[in-house]
Amino acid sequence: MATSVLMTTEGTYPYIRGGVSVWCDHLVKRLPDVTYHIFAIVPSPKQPMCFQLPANVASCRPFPLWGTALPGVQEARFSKTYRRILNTTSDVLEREFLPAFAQVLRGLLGTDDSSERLASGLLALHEFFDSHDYAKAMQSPLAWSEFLKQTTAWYPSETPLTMEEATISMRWLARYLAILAVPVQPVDVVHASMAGLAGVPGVLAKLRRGTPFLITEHGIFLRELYLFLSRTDYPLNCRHFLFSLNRAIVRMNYAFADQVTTLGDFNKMWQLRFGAEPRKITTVPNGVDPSVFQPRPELRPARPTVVTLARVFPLKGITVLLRAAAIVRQQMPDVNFRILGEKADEAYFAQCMAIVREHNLENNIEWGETSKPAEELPKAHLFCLPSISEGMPFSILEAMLCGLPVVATDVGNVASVLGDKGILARPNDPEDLARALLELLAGPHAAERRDYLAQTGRERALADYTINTFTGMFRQIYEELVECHAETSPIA
Amino acid sequence: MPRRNLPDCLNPNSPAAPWRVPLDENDLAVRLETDGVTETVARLDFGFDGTLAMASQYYPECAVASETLPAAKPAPSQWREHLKGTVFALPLALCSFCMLVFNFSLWGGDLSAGMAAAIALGTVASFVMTGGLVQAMAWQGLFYAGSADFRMTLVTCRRWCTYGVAILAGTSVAAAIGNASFRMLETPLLATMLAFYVLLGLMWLSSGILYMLEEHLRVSAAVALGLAVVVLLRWPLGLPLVSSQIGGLVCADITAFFLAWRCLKARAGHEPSRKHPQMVGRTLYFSAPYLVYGVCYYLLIFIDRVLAWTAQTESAVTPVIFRGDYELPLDIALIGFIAIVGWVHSSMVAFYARVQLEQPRITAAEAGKFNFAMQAFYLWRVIYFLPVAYLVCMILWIAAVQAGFLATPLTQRIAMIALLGYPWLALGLWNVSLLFALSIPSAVVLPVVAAVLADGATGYVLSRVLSYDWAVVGFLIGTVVFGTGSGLAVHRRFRRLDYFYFVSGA
Repeated sequence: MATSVLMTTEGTYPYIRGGVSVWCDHLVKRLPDVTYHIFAIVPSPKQPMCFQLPANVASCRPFPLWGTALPGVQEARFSKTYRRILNTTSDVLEREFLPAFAQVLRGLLGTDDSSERLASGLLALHEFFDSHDYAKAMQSPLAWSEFLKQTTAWYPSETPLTMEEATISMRWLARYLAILAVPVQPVDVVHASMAGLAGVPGVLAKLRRGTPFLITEHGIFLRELYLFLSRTDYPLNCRHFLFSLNRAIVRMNYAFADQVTTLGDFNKMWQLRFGAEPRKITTVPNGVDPSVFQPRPELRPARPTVVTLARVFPLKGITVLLRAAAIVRQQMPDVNFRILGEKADEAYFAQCMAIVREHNLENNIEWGETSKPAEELPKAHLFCLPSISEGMPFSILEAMLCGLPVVATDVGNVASVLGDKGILARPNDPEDLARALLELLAGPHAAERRDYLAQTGRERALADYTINTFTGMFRQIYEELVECHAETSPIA
Repeated sequence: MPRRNLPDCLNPNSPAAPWRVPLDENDLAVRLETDGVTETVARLDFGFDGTLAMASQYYPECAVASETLPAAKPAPSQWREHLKGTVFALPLALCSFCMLVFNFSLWGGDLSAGMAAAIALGTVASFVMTGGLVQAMAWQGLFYAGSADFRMTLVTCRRWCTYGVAILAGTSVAAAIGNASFRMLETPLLATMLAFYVLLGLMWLSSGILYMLEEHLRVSAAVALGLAVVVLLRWPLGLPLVSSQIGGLVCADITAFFLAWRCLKARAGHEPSRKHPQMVGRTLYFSAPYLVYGVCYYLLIFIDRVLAWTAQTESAVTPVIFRGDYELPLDIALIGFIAIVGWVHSSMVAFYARVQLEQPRITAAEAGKFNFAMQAFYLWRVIYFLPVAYLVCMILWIAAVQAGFLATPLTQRIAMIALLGYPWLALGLWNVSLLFALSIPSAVVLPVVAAVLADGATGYVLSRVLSYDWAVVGFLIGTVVFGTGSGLAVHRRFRRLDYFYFVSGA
């Protein structure tokens, strides 16, 4: 299969570690005959690459949303940028830019809920930025006035938009839409690894060249955005604006995607709620390599040990785990919790450390990081994932293959992955999590129960969640999309 | 009847986390799920059809609850900020203090006329040649520092310093070749001039980095060390003044560069280095206004001196005569500037504080109201500053006359005229800071170029028609043009401050 795929990512592969990045890495490495071009939306240009790209990745373009002096694209040859700046006169902006910008704004605010019109507005802007300067256009008085005009009418009179909220919102918009200034290269398939901004190149390619467009969602983008916004200090109207903007983009992406793959029923329920068409949704569960993740009971330590593989940030519920650990410690003073993962959020990590000090857990908590989970997982008696939101976590599948009993919170598709081969706890509930952990650590038949879950869990993972099944399904999807496009293409 | 307590997310008064109003029913459903209310729990424990149904039931009351707002920041103290701003001028104050007490400083002092002229020319040239580079470096470096990208701050500083060293070296060689052809200065004088030019140029580059990183006291430390070395070499060791000063400058340069690099390295920490193309064309295009401003600002400050030194030189051996009785009153007037320049920093802090106060309470539909409020803020700030600044300058002038520092009518007049100009210079600096902060550097170019032209033209005519000391009137006119011109530029932009404020952070 000589297929070229533009894989678009957002805050993940190959610059930031995490489940989605592992998924991308597996897919790219397991389909060596597919040529991948990576377009990675990253928070800032200082993000170092943390995955080694295989030979079939022909190009990798990072696109920093923030951290550049001006929004838009920085080309190596300034003469080109300069020509664009010269082309972007007030007349041109009023004649060519403003109507498309106004149309896009209506679509993003939802005053016009047609995804087709939003997409055509985005395409018009994308084509405009082929030969005009993005920063000059988006930072023009015309763009600002149009933004104020539309947003002030959009908010209800009881909670009018303030100057502060308008300023913050328009600054966000200027950064978000900068993706329109990036040229989208011709490929056979565009594969977005998230339904948000990362899907926009897919829609543009679809409209410009009819390129097949595939979306894969792990955590549900809008669902996680709700969680993010519920923890921020942004004013309410800003949160409304950011959500509205992303909801419109997600709906448009769903509308233009040829297929949307999902991890399980929980995700599917949310995707349908956010406007995806049922006929486009295919379930493709994650998979792990059983030759890498194997049981190694000889590595199990004498001290009762619980291992967690997760980046330390709020969605992973590490504070809940620490509070649960304090309860477990009351019954098992020598229990050891190993929390292995990048400290992705310093403030949150500080919060975690405060809990450790509050409960004197210094001798029971071990922090670390690992790039070799197959070597670390067997060094424990059970695996715990305390997340408050998940798609289908790789770490659970890896633990199951390593023959580790799993205790996890009932979030995302975790319940469907574990079935009755693991123990579920209520999310954000330290007492319930501690109850589940103690059941396997100190219960009357804890050892037998652990052995049973370890064995049946591994059997379940081998049957349904191996890497070959997952990559095989994506190979088939790519082939179908390319064939389908060839049949419908006017050249064919 | 619910079989368990309602989760925290339905309780706006819950101490568990800051409460945020949910955006819609789905938002509340997600929060319920993360609080443990799965579909099954919603059905079995709370008697709803599912999580979304439960969210729909509770959403109306949650939507009208009030949010836990983040604590407001306390208003900054004006006096503290003024003092912080004054620290900026501490190295200058140290030099002025040394000049008054020891009769020499890091540069200048009791020297032969030729040597004094050579050092003066080297000093002025160093300011003018590096001023633009320091401004451009600060613009780029501050952006990266503000984005916590200290690796790029370091790269940027290294690049601009390399340009600076190349320019200092290149112009020195050009000056040497030019002098060899036209024989304007004798070789020892030329060597002295170039030594001071290069060493002071390096000093401005390194202190530019430290100022950018807000390490003001470290600049003062480097200057203080340099001054100590001069004193040490001059008195216990008995070296000639010029050699002592060169020794002191070498020491100050090494210290300042060492401190600057250490600060940059410490902040960059273990951030991995990455490829970043130079993009010279782009950098020059966007930094051009900063380069022009930096050069013009120092021309505005020093052009009157050069005009005074080069007036009525017919009987002199060299075309430049360093005039101590012109320099002394200007040094004293500089103390007045140091006293008032802290206002620039405190005014910038006050500007941001006022924007943060006004923006949340004015609706976007009333952008004009916001602009008007900020115009009024600006105007009041200027209205109270100018009389206070003049009062400070007048007190200083009287004190200097009483103390005998300004002993002759000539020095008294020069100091008086210079002191009339400094409040306008401070006002201009605030305007420039505002325009830079609003990302409109191009608006600075016209006022500063006009100011230099007015300064030069007036100073030239008066110093040639009347006498050399009248060049100081050029300085006064120049600063007034700078202050008012940049003020008009600010006033024009403040009419659409809502727009410019958006652009400044976009």
